[in-house]
Amino acid sequence: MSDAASVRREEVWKAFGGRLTRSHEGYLFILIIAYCLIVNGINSSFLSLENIFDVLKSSSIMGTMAIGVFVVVLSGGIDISFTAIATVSMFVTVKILLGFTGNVALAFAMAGVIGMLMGCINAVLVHFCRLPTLIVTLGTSSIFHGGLLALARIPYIYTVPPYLFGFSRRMAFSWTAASGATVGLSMMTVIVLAVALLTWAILRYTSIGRGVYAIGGNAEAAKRAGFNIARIQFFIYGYVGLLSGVASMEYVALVRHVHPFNLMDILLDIIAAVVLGGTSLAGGRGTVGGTLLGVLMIYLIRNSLVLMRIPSYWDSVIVGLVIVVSTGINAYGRTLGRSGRKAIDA
Amino acid sequence: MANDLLCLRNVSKTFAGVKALSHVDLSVREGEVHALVGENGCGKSTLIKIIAGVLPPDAGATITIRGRVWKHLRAIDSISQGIQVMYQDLALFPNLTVAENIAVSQYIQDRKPVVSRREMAETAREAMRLVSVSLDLSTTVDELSIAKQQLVAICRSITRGARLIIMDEPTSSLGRRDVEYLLTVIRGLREKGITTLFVGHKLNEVFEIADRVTVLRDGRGMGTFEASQLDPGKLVTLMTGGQIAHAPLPSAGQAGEPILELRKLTRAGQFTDISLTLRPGEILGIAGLLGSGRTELAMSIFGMSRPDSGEILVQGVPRRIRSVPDAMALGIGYVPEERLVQGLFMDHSVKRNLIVTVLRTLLGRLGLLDSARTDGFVRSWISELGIKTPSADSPVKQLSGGNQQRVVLSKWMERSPRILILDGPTVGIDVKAKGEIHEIMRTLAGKGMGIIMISDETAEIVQHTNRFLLMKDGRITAEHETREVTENGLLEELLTT
Repeated sequence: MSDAASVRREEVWKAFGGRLTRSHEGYLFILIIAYCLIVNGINSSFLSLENIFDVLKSSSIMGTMAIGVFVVVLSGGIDISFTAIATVSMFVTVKILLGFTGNVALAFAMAGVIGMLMGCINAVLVHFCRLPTLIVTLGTSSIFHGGLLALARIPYIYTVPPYLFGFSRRMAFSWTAASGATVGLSMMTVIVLAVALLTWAILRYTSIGRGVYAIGGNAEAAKRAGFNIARIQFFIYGYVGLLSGVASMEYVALVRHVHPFNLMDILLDIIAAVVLGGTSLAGGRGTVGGTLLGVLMIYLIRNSLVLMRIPSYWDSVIVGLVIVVSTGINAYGRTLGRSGRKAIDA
Repeated sequence: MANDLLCLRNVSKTFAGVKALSHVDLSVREGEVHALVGENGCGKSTLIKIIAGVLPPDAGATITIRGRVWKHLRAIDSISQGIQVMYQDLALFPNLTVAENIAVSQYIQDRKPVVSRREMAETAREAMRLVSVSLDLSTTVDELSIAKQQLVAICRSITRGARLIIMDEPTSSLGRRDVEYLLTVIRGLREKGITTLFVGHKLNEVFEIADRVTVLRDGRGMGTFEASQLDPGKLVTLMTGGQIAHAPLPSAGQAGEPILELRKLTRAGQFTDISLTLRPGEILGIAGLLGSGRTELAMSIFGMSRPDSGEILVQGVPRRIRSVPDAMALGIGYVPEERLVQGLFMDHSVKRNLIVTVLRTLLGRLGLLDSARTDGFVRSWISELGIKTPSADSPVKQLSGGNQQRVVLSKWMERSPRILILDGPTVGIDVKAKGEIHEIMRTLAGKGMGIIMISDETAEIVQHTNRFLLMKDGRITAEHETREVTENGLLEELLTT
């Protein structure tokens, strides 16, 4: 019996280890752990619980947006208007909320709906005008953001509703650490985890989610198989808009002001995170988990090099290196796999 | 007739004044394997689209499906009547599993918002049972060979309640063993009462599988025949309107020093101890099935993969061929098997494809393309090889297979290589275009070029080579003077292991 049990344990371990080293996510996970250990070796406060929860909290804005962008990329498209959508819905929502007494839920709902509407404009252009997604979102990004700057005379807001920044300190659970600081799981982290779970379930179990994979794999075949392409496109671009709006509220809660340019800067980091997470830019392949890991990796590089006393100019260089090397290894592995298969098949 | 599943009468179709089909009749009996044959461009695809309800026929046509006359057959009607078309591109999702690819139509049809994986697997298993195939349900489709992908597509059409499966040139990208298997599957479908309309132009397959044959030529029906009453000669005559015959080639090509010699060339896992000589003016066949190492050998000669050991002598001088430019500098040309993927830029114009290998010779003074010279060059090749194209600026993907193959050939011929390797030069093209490609090959050999033709079509090897080698599992197992071999003899030798 103990023999059987140990064999079984070994099998489980092997399967686990196999997944860890073979799948892109596993590989990325190992990379993140390794990176954390290195940083911790230089600055031992890095892996403190306090810091870990803080990273999970502040990376949640990137995480929420990245999941939306992941869905678009999965369908074989690309969205570069989501930062503009976030910026506009952030401004409009806060502006409206300042007029009366609202609450956190209303703020998130309002920003989400505004973002979704703008996403639907993208969907109309992509689906009915049959324009390439890059061109559409390049155009709408410019229109949304430019429109904000032109129409809002002062596109900065320095007083935001107090309940919003109250929200940024809300925890799902917390305790007081030995140092006296309050440590715990931020509600913002809960939001991104909930969004991740929801997205995963939609993609895996619903007809519309399978349609996203199908369009990404073979758009023509998806049409012929009878998928409702219009509905799926509206879902995709509406969803990324919605999540951009939600993320913009997380951002306001964290930084406590509205700025028309700050969010625009994270565009490339988020697309990079999605790609780093193993999502194929050609569409059809990728996972929510990989995307979150990609976000974590990029976020860590951006925010921890300084702890190792490396000048922040090196952020971008290292982010770039990580993307090129890790996707390169991934692609190389696929090529090897394919040629190996060919030999067996023949 | 009462037991006709599908009956078309007097079907014509005109596109912008051009008659693609004129007064075609076709009746398909319940449970038979019916072959629809004809050269490329004879109207086969148009006819399929009319049956599928994708294109409406011109007025005057009658379409009867299982006794019911359809005035306006729409795509959805055709599907609801159990007609499923398997197009050449298969319309599969490479990123999804076998189970999902098979069951996808089912869950769309059921309009359930939530998808159950268990139901998906059950649907797929049921379909596989009906088709009598077994595939691993959890592998993704891009990991399967084309042959297996076809099986997935067949299973999927079963889930849509197919009574009649129309297969559009299903064998054009399969090796011989896979073709055999596909034909077995079709026979199995026939036993279960499912009708197949097999569209193609490979005569041996038609004779192997079809109960009846309908022939189209230039948009006209040439009649429907019991397969047993036809023979290949007669069928070719019906398809082309004239017999194509070739004088056998003499044993030896022109005398002279070998222009290419391989000595014990080996690349681990791909081919072993390959020795051969090629003389000027000779067409040397390499007969081998998919996976015999034939293509890998060609790639090594052409500098795309380096052999582990052995020697390559070009005109008596040992050479190291490390890259494609090396091979080209030595006068070696290669027309790949998958010309669509490897040999052409499909979205680019005929003109651009023609000049890409000779760009340097067409440069003007400033190092820019000399457009007058380029145009003249392109015109001369289009007329010399008889490439049928609307214009030099049409994208290559709009051309028929035979014409695409001609573009590939001319690309290489302009460099006037001394050694030309043709890998499956007539795969997927029709009888007439095939004859023309063979004619071009013979002309080139007549001018002193040495040609290596890799093929698994026995007829082609037996009719158009001086000598040939048999390749199996990476080794050369026999060498024959072509004159001494019959087609059946070769076929037997090729298929026995």
